[in-house]
Amino acid sequence: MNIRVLKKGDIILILCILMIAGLIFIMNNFASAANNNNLIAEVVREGNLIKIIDLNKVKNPEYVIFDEGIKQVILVEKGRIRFLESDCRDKFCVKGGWLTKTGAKAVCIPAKTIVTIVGDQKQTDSNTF
Amino acid sequence: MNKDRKKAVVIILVCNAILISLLELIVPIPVPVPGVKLGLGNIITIIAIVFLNLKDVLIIVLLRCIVVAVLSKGLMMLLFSISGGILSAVIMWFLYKRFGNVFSIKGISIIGAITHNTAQIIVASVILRETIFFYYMPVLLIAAVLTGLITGSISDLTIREITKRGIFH
Repeated sequence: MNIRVLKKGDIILILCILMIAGLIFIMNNFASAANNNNLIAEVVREGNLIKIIDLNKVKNPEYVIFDEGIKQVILVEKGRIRFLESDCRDKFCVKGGWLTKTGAKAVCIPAKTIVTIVGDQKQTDSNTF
Repeated sequence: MNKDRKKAVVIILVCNAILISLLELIVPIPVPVPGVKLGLGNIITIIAIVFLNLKDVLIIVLLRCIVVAVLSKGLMMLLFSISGGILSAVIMWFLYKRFGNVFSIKGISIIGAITHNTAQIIVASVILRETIFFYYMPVLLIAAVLTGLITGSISDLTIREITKRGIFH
């Protein structure tokens, strides 16, 4: 028997997973495409909203620095934001690079820090009502 | 398999699981998404599922998670590996016993990888107090198919070889 052979169930399974992944991906992008005029970045640490920055209004590069616990530096420039340094082990947050689009997210699980670019929140609210 | 022989097999599998999980830390992952990894420890879990009962499988997964967490990732990461490890082991065991005619070892391995990822991203969402579930799910699902196929194929080959040579009998 050839070891490369997949059973019928396997193939159906893989196709289903790829379809679900595609659907969620489209849904994520669709949601963010609806409100991409404003680039508002939110910095959340341990569940607390630390800072809201309007990325379109940033002129000179700014830094958000966390000294307590796991030390981290977040760099903010016009239209973009990123983790510059982090003391965590995997450094997924730093490797994620720049966030430039609405809906983009960088997460550092050990430090419990999340940077998200939310769109124009007010616009979403007025649309939903 | 008699009692002493079974104990020896469990110990051999635990040692292999720990070693293989530690080796995996050296392998760089090109995708900067928390939760994406090869999951080589899964190979041992699947071998254990085929040859041992559920209790022994869970002992192997638990010991592997604890030792690897203590030696490398730290105790906070233990929460992630244990939740993912136990849940995926139970689901893979169930699928192997009940739906072994529908899915091959590779299919079961893919489902195990997905369960592992999903459990971890749920734990992460709880810890972060924010749903990062949907944002990372597409990447994690596709990664699970690839890594599940890789670990599943290795498990499949190993299981065939073990059965052919009658090592665990």
